[in-house]
Amino acid sequence: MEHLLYIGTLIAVWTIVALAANLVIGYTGMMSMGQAAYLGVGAYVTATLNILLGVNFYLALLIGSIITAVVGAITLLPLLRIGGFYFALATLGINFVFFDFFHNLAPRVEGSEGLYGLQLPDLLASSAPRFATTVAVAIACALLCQAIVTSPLGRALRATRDRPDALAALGKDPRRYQVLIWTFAAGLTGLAGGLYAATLFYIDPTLFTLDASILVLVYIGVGGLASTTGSVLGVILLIAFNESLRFLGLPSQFVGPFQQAIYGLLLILLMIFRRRGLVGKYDFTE
Amino acid sequence: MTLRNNGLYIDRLSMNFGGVVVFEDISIEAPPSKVTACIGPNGAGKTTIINIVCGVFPPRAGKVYIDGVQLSGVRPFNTVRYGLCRSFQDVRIFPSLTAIENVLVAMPNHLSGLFLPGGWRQERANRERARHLLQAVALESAAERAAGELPFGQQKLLSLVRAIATGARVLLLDEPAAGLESDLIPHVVDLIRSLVKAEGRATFLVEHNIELVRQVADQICVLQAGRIIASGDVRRVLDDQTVIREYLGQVYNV
Repeated sequence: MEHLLYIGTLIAVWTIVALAANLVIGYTGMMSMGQAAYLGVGAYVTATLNILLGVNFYLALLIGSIITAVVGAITLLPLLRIGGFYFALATLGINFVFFDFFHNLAPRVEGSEGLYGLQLPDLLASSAPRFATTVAVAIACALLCQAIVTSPLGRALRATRDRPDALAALGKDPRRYQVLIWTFAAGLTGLAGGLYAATLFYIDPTLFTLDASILVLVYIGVGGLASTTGSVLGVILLIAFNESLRFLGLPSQFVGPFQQAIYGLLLILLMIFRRRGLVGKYDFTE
Repeated sequence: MTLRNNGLYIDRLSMNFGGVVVFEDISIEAPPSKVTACIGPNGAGKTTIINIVCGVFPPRAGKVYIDGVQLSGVRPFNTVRYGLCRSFQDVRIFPSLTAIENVLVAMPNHLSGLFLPGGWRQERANRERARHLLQAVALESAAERAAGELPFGQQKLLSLVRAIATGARVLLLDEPAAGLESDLIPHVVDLIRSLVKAEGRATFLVEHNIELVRQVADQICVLQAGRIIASGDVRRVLDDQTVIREYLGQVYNV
């Protein structure tokens, strides 16, 4: 039971990350391959404020989200000058830069190689309320994302994805929408980062490597791009699938590589047979 | 030459790409409620005029005025702020948006539509107007279809409607009839007559289809080898022997 609640909480946290990534990739068409960097910023800022400075967890979470949003905007601005494949490559670079940054804090800042000892409030301190709280937050995020994509703003985001030059000719600067949604998504991912730290009790740089970013892509790709339902579905199915691998009784050293191989295979099958994922509305190869 | 007060006024524009002179010292006036057509052979620089007005690149010399105010700082993404909107020769619709969404996205007001009631009222009014615009080109039945699935002709009409939906006072239409089936041409004529002229827009029309020009244009200028060889009332110019010899001769038998 304890383990099930833990898995449920993880699903809720990754759902928030996937929703944010879907806004950026699925709706606005900005291929981000470095979402884990923002997850890491959120987790580190929240945990550092809470553990080292004794800031109340909720406040730390809020500050963590805001700082991540600001970091998101700052890292995006130079990237707006490049497009397409190079943009994706640069986001990959962002991921590496932040991973190294967390790693290199080690000799200077206490705990960057492993930060633990969060002072959690009642709602997050034990597994049952933590599950309920994170699920509630995830549902709120899903509703918010759905409200955005069905609004006039969502329409402009899809137009930005389809033909930024045509949108510009109609008097709407596509970069405005790109910066707006990227910043918002980074903030949301930062929030998920803080909750991730609260779920794991312990964070270290290896949680925020390229693997995590790719995982997000697999979640939203399998579920289907440009669909809120798709993002939620992708996370639930893949994490549940991942957990079910335990019952195969594989030797523990094989589990990790086996999962990676399965994910890789899934992505390849998806690209061949169902580019829109399960319920997606957009195929970025079009 | 006096400074015109209304509409689009292009004052002694010169342009060259490297050593190649595109046009030299041309002036064009496109007053409100009138359609000013520009014809000329391929490569005469017609689209270049639109590109210069929209700030794609700067002219070598000359100025552009809108409603008597000299334009400066126009870039392709802020033309609408200056009251300008262009259409493209190739159709640049948003394929995954529905036809009506393509029109709605061009209308003012996006961000406040999210949470404020005023934004939603605006959205309903926009929807009403978008429907009306689609009706004008017989696209109302396709309103909820993805624009990318529409046939080329309808996409082209949609892109014209979209330019009008921005509310720009000056429209620059780059070959709206190019590639259209002949049965769709009357829709373009209707659209330009009813929505462009009636609402007082100044329209600069670049077009090869002389029949369309004859039907909708009030005045015309003929661009040939970097200079304007004739301009003025559309019927007078199109019947001008020089124009027929220099440009229309090949396609236009009198």
